[in-house]
This record gives sequence, C-alpha cells and structure tokens, in this order.
Amino acid sequence: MNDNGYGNPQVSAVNFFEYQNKARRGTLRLSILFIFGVALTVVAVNLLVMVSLAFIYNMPLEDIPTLLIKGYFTKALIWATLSVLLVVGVMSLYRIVSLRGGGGEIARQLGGVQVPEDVQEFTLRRYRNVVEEIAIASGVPMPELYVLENEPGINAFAAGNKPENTVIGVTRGALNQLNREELQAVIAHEFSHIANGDMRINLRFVGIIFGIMGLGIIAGWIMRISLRRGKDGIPTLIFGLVLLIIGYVGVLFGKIIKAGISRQREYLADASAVQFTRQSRGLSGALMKISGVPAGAKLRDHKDKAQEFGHMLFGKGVSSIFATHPPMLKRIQRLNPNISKEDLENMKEHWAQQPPNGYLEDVALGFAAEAPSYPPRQPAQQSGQGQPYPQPNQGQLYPQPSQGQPYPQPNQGRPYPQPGQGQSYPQPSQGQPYPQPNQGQLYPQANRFSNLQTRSVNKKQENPILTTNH
Amino acid sequence: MSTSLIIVIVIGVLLAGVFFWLIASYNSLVAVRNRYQNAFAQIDVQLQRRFDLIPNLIETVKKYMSHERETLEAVVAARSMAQAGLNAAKAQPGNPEVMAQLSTSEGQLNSVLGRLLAVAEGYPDLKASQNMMQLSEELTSTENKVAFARQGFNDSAMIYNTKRETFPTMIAAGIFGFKQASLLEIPVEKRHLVQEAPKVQF
Repeated sequence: MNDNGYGNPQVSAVNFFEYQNKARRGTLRLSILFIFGVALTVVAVNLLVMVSLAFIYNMPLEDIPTLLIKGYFTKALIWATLSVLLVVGVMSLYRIVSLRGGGGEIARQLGGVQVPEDVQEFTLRRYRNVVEEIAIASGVPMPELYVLENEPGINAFAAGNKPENTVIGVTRGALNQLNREELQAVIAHEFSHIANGDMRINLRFVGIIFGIMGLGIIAGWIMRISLRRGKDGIPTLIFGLVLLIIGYVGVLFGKIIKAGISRQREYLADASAVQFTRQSRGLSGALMKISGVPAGAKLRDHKDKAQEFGHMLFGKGVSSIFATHPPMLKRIQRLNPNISKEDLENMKEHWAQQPPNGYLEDVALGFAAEAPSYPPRQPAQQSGQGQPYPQPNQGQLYPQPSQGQPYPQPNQGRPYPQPGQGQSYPQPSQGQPYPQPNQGQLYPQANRFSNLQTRSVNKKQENPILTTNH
Repeated sequence: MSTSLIIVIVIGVLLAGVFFWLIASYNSLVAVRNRYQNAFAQIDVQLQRRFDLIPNLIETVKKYMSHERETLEAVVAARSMAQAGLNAAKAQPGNPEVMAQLSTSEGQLNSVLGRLLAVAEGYPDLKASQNMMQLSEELTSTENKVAFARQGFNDSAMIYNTKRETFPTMIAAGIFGFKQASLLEIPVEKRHLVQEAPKVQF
C-alpha cells in the first residue's frame, strides 16, 4: 500500500486533497490513453484501406510508403478517416441520448421507492437527514431519494447526469445495518460522484465505446453481403473481417480503459467522502460491513439491471481488469491501513452469527437515544408491488432473503438484543469458539478506532478488563 | 499590403481570444464566489433550524423531568441569547465583533444543551420515548448540518481563493477586483468554549 508516492499511505481527514488530485491525474492519464486508442483505431482503418487499394490496383505492398508520400492515397484516406469518425460519432451520440434518462427512471428500474420529504419512519428519517447533511457539506443541491426496500445487501447508488435530475438510492440492508456514521460516509461517497460529474464521464465513455462497436457492426454487414456473392466476395469478406477485428479490439481496449477510469473515480469518491465527512472511520466501517455481511453488496432482485448499472453502485466484489470498482480490501486499507485480510475474515464470521445493527451501534456510540422497542423495517419477502412501504414485521429482525439462499438467522425467536440490558452489543453466543482476542471491542483489532466506541460499549457491558484501560 | 493585413488579422484574433478568455474567467470566478457566499448563508439557516428545534425538545422533556426546572430554564435563556446573536450577525454579516458574540452565545447554548442531555440520561422513560428518539436524531442531524455548513463554507472559500490566486485566473481576478475570502475560524480566546461545550456522559 505504499505505492502512492506519499509518505502517509492513508487517506485521512487531513490529506484527502492529495488523494483527490492523484485520482484526477489518473483519470486524465487514462483519458489521454483512450483518445490515443480511438486515434489508433482510425490509423488501423487507414492502413486497411491502403492495403486494400494496393490489392485492387495490383501494386506491391512495399510501394505503399512511397505512394503515400507521393499523395496517391490522400483522398482515399481523408474519406476513410471521415467515415470512421462519422460512424463513431453518430453511434456515440445515439447511445448517449438513449441513455440520458433522469436518475429517477433508473432508480425505479432497480426497484426503488421514493422517500417523501416528510417521512416519519425512523430509518428513513435518518436517511433523509444524512443526505441533507452531506448536501450541505458538498454544496450539491438536494437530490431525490430512493430506497430499495427489498434488498437485504448493503449498497447505494447515484444516478442521473445533470444535477437537476440526480437521485440517490440505498438498499434497506444499508439502512438497517450501517450506523449513522457509516451511512453518512456511503452517502458522501455517492455525492462525490455527483459533485465530480462521474455519471457524465461514464456516459461519454459508454457512448464512444458503443461508437467504436459501430465499426464492428458495419463490418458485419460487409461480411454478410460478401458471403452472398460467393467466390467474388472473398476480398471484401477479408476486408470486413479485418475491420471487424479492428472494431472489437478497439472496444476491448476501450472497455479496459473505461474500467480503469471508473476505478480511479471510485478512489476519488472515497477521498471526497472523507472530505465531506472529515473522518475516514465511517467509510472503512461501511466497506468492511459490505465485504463482511452474508448478503454483501449484492442486489437480490433486478440482477440484470444491477449488471447494467454496476458502475454506479457503491460496492462491487469482482476484481479484474474489467472491474468498475477497486478491490474492497484495497479500498479499506487506503482508509485504515491497520485492517488486514484476517480481520475481515474474523468480522465475516462474527457477522454471519450476528448481523450488524446500525441503530444499536449508534446507541452504543452515543449518537442516538435508546429506544428498546425500536423495530427496524424489513425488506419484504418478495418484490412487493403495489405496497410502497412494507410494514415493519414484528418479531423478525434481520433482512430475510428468499428461500434457498443461505442467510444465517442467529437469533430466531430470541428477542431483539436490547441495549442497556446486559447484552447491548452484537456478541457471539456463549460457548461458541469464536476467535475474539479482545472482547467487548467493536472491531476485532487494536486499531485506531476511537476510544469512544470502546468506552461506551464497555460501559454498557461492565467489562472489568476494559475499564482498566481508561 | 497583404502582410499588414495578416498582422491586423492575427492581432484581431489574439485580442478576441483574450477577450473571450476574460469573460470565461470572470464568469467562473463569479460562479465560485456565489458558491461560497451561498455556503455562508447555509450556516445561518442551519443555526436557525437548531434554535427552532429547542422548544420541541423542551416540550418533550418537560413532561418527564419537571424537577429539572433550572436546567430547562437555562436552556431557554441560552437559546434566546443565541437567537439574538444570530439576528445581530444576520444584520451585519462579517462584522468580527458580532461574529464573536454569536460564537460565544452558541458555545453557551451548546454547553447547557449538553447538560440537559446528560440529565436526561437519568430518566429511562424519557429516553425510551418515541419523541425523544426522533428529537435526538434531529438534534444530531442539525449539529452535523451546522458543522458541515461551516466546513462547506471553508471548502468553497478555499476553492475560490485558489482560483483567485493561481495563474492565469489571477490576472482576471486582479482586473475585476475579486477580493480574498476569509475562512471561518474560532478565535483563540473563544476556543475553550467550544472545546468544553458538548459534555455527554455515559
């Protein structure tokens, strides 16, 4: 993690601007590479045209350079370049315009329900408040809010390409499982996508890549027509094939560069989230929960749509050169270098037995008043149409995914863990060999998490070992 | 003849370029200046919101803790003082004396609010009430909004200052007389108030 060229490898509340600049430079570098790639495609097509002309007029290939200098090809090359640019340009514009819908449309396609301004339900109220806070911190106008009620995973998105039609959405799993600080960090991350114009950047790249693909489509037509002409069609068939290869190689490289840019924008958004909240603990906590909880960042419903809109979600697990997000552990370690792979594994085991509960953590942290009767709302069993807000189902505490999916329910039948009643904090059940060297601490590691957490948890649990720490 | 014509055209193009660049620089400077001025207005808005929440808080708390009359009265008094401070600051924004007055009364309000919340810890019924839960969320949020409004102001003032001082926009800023924005800071002599303010016990 010391590959960033700065003395301090950690994004903190003091050096986030450095990291933002680094990510912006990364974007610029990749954009230049992208333009270079488009230029290379044009050059490749020009070469193809020259070779074809040489073939048609029975000229030896080695004469091409001299003929080029003499100006034999000039007209043909100008035409070739113009038609390539025309095809790419028109197709790109077509794609950009067709994808230009407002963010609300996308949110509804993902199964989002709009959160009204005067919402009273507690988690939604808190969600609204947190978004308002970050709108103030970032100076971005308040977007429309959506919640994906049926999703038990932790994820969020920002959609829309203009500030006026931008929306923000979060899953029910995020509202229930993240504490206030973490939710705030996730929202701040999404806001920085809006503030940095990432949706527009992404739209542009998607459009141009589609445009390059247009070359491949035209190549396909040429090949089909050539096939119909039988033996006479062989030369044009080869021409079409080479054009097809150029088009697809262009698309491939375009996609790799676009994914690289997308990853840079994720780092930029992480660093901007630290700017807006002036702390990195919330974001690293949220990322840890995403990689740790059983439901992860997955969107259970609308999987196809999730694929299509993957680039604008908060978290995504796959790591490859086509990945739109950097690896989770890398993102976490940029925020908190003390977290290791083993810590994540430990938390995973811990949360598998006892899913995190954001509200109880807030109570423990002193950010919320205790309310033992607080019932968090649950994702509905199936995609519930017609019912805009599923009722909180009593007795059932944690998100319940559809049958067949192994989602652990550690406290079936057990009452809700009640703060201030001896067992206030997620605790592995007794007698279970849960590897936890430091009991009573929120995260299984002596890291730099604030004393506040240990102190408040400790106070509630009356843990004699920890009291000596203070 | 033709060379002088070319020179005239070149100079004309250059002048037009400079002219349009000046327009663009001026507009971008105005845009960032408006952003930080709007951020300043946000601070007022959020402080006012916080004052407006306090009567609700008192109303909720009163039912449960009638014995804590003194604390409640202290909150009400501190609130009206802070409100007066805010009104004065609105009338004369940027006046250092008025701003200092506001930050003092703000600090006092913080401190008595902290005391009230600490006392409320001793009333389990109150803590468990739905009202208190929502109020506590609103208070947390408003505190954050006040802090974020200040921070947002400083961030956008910094962006404005950077733009104003860096080449080449500094030339346009000099021509059109864009003034430096001063960041919000807590004066040294008031720092103890802020540091002492929130005392919530567990």
